[in-house]
Amino acid sequence: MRIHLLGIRHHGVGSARQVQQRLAELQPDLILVEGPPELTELLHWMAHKELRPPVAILAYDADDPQKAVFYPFAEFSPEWVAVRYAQEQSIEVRMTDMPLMHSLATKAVEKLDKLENAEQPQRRVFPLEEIARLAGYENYHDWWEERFEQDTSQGESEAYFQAVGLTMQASREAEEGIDRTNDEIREAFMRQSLREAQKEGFVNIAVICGAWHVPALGDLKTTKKEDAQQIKGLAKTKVRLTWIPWTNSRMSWWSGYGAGIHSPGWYEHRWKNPDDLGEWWLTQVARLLRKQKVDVSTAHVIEAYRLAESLAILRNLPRAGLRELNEATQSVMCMGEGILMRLVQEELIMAHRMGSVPQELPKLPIQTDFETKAKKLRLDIREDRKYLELDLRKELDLSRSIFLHRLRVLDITWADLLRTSSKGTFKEGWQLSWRPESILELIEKAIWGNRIEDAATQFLLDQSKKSTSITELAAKLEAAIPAELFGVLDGLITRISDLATVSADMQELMAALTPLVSVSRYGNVRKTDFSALMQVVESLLTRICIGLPTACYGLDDDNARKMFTLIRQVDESVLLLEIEPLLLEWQNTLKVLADKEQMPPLLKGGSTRLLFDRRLLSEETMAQLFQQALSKGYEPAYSAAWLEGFLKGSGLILLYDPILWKLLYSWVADLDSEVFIEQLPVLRRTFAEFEAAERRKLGEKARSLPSLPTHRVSPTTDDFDFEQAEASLPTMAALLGLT
Amino acid sequence: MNALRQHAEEQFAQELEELQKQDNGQRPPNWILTPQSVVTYLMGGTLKNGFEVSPKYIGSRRLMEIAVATLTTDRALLLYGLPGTAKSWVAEHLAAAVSGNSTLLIQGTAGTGEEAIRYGWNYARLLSEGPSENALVVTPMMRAMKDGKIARIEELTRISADVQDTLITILSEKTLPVPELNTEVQATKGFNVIATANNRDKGVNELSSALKRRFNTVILPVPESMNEEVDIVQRRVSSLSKALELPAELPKLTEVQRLVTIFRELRSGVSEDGKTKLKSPSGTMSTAEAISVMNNGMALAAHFGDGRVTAEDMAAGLIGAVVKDPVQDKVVWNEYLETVLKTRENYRDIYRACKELSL
Repeated sequence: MRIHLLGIRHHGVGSARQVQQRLAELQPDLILVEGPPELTELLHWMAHKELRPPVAILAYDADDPQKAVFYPFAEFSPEWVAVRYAQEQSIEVRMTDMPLMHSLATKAVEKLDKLENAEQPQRRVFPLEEIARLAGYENYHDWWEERFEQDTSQGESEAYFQAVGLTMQASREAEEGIDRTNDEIREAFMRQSLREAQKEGFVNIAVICGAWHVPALGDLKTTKKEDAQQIKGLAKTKVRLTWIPWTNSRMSWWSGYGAGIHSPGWYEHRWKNPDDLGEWWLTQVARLLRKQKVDVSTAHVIEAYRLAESLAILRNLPRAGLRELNEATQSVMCMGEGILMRLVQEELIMAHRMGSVPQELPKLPIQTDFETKAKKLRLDIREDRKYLELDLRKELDLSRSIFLHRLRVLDITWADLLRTSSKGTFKEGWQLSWRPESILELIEKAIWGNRIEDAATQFLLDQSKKSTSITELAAKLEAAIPAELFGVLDGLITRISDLATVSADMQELMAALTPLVSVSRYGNVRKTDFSALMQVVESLLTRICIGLPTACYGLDDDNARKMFTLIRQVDESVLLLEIEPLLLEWQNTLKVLADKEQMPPLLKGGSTRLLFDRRLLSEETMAQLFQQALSKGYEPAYSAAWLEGFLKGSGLILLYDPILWKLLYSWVADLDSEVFIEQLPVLRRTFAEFEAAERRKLGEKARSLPSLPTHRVSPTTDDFDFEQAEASLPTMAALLGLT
Repeated sequence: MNALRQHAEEQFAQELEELQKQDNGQRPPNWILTPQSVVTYLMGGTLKNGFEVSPKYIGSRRLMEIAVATLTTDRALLLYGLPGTAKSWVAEHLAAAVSGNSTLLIQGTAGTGEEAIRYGWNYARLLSEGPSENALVVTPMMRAMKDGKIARIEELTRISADVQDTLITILSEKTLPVPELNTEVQATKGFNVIATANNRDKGVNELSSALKRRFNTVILPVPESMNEEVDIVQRRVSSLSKALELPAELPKLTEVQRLVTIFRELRSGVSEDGKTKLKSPSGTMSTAEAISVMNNGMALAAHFGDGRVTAEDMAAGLIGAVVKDPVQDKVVWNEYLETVLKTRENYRDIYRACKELSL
């Protein structure tokens, strides 16, 4: 009975090759691969021809799908290689590690959104770092890469795995004072499964596991009792598993194994072209650069190769690695600049690639629905960004838009709605980019329904029940219309109107109005009935008209500013609605705001302006109000705020109305210099928002006002040397072309 | 020895000798050291016999490895970077460590003609003897080719484009034809060219793509970390003050740190703690300038002060280094003084000294 421990680095090309070779030598009757035992039942899919790496096994807590772990496989992963070998040779293969039902239940699995920036977990590799340093490397990764992963000569795989085991043994012994509870439990499980395999009568077992664990798996006897203790009584949870397509860019994630790689493209190249010393790679780089219209000749490739080779010799390396090749590329092909290297990084070293999984894989109904819909609508599920412009007048595009809007309601991050430049409401721009982990977001929504449409409706209804904010509900309503989730409309509208009745928060009511009004306008494009909605809008607006003046009393500066923006928004919405009685009502409210004392001056000024723009104030009244606001009876601060409200956005009116201009001019002129300085920030804020051209014109106007005394600059003639000046005239004339 | 400044191979003769002694790898033809030893010479280190080699370049070892590896191939080396990033310094030491001779130098200017690169004629001889070997004026380039040494070209991009292109034959065919004598000079093994060029002058006389192709480019960056830069300034200041025999104390570490901080902040446009955005002056604020400000301060202290470098001694040089454009840079500098230096307790004396000078 023999147990062979093959210590590997996850996703290491060199490890994979050694595993391949060693397995062929050993001819084992059982292969154990590091990974939770639950994964075993999914392994048979790896033989399926439609399962193309990079793929991953997704494991998630059935009750809380966001608690999930991924086990990615690339073509060159030693795990993949080992399982494939087992399948080809009809050898039994199993996974061995702490079962997911325990690990998902006990340890706090990181939530999905945090994973994106996840760093290498704090596994201490100090002893290894020390070895690397002694060997003359900057860090442990470089050392491992060059000593264990770069092609070691073939035919010595036994010695290779022995070396790996001894190295790890030494470093584990040197390691001190670190909490290894988690590792210990995992290793206990691994040993336990080895014992079980022995009991079942396997005699030649190969174990493929992370190199770090090798020393712990050698001794099965003395640890037997402890192990039984350790693996008892752990918390449990229900786990679901499935295969999902994975991408190269996500290979760098430290999920599942706690190991990731940052150059999958390079690894793949090394896997497929073991004999390439760099010529192939550099040729690929050159071809890529040429596509970008960079002049790179074959001679460049030759020179880069020679430089990489010299660098490897200088650094005492057996062959040029990625770093040498990159340095040579930068130095020879890119004139030392790093910018083009980013392209190489993206396209070749990372290499965008997305795997695929077979159709008949068991899936949740919502997943199937999602995939069939996407296929029917000819929307490719791909990683690289794709821009889509939809014309809603076309049948297909309209369906696509509805589908994408539904996904948006479900918070599935695949498509981003872009603001289209054209003004028409029948155009929509989308940006599609699939991230493999989005599948989780979909699975999470499975509880809401089996089809996207049902799930979206239920999800939205549930959310709206929980929400108590009119603004939020209005936003939901706005999202529901283009998604054609009409089932939710009644519910949402009733909910909004209920809340609006009891709500005392004027700002909230006002903020809700804009999205509701814009929804009501969709009816034209999307042929839907909005009479219920219009009722809500009307009642909302009426409520606003009545409550607004009271709500504005005595607002402080900050709130007045907020209110000011809201008033403008409501004003725009009212104009869009084009309903006469509502318009009148709103205008009356504005009048009240403009006239009443005790209103914040900012709002008074703002309302006056809105009324004036609407031609509801005669020019005389306007001038009168203006003069009043700037009269001495008011504090300068009041006047300045009023002015800000009045002029906000555009100062053109000052250019074309001489009376206002004169009023303002004399007001400014009459201010004490101290008071002026006090008010300067407000005035400046007002004027700074004008267009540059407007400001310039205003400035010119201020300088040239004829009715007021201006300072003229007169040249001094005291010590002016006319004779000398005259001498320069002919030259000047010649320069100006006057002769 | 009375020279104001010694050549690298003279100043560090002992280091080169020690390196040569312990050097037992294979040397490229006509090199005095192995490539590994050249890197050690540049980056510093301790030899097997305990001899300490001082670092000449403080920064990324990998860059130096690329530079040396380039010279082992038959491609020429172009060192590229902002003014004051030690391009010429590295070039000189490379030449010294590779061929033991850093003097084969051509200074590139707008007026550099073909005869400065290829060969010229001694017209008196030419008239009296007619075209002959004796009438040829041998340029550093021709000398380097004959002897198999490294030739250096400073400020390559300042040389006009048509003159630059005379290098193409030299670099690709490794030969220099002399049609007047119907002969040629063929480069001996070990010959190579190191050129330096300046980022800021980009586009002045951009290299033709044919010439570009003959160079491997290494961009020398500004020092990455504060410590690196302080180290550079300290080393250079002490070696220069030895050469100039300044009777002043070497500046304290804190003094150098303060100066380097000011330079780094103005150069990067962000305060060292990363919190405040600053304006950058039009000058490059290179490490070389920081070194000269420090030297200047030491000279002032030595001859007009008590031999200890104070804030006053540095202020004049500092302002000179920052304010290159009397209008814009002055605004930048004053803003920096008032918003950053003024608020820092430990920069009070510098603030006051600068303030006094700018009045």
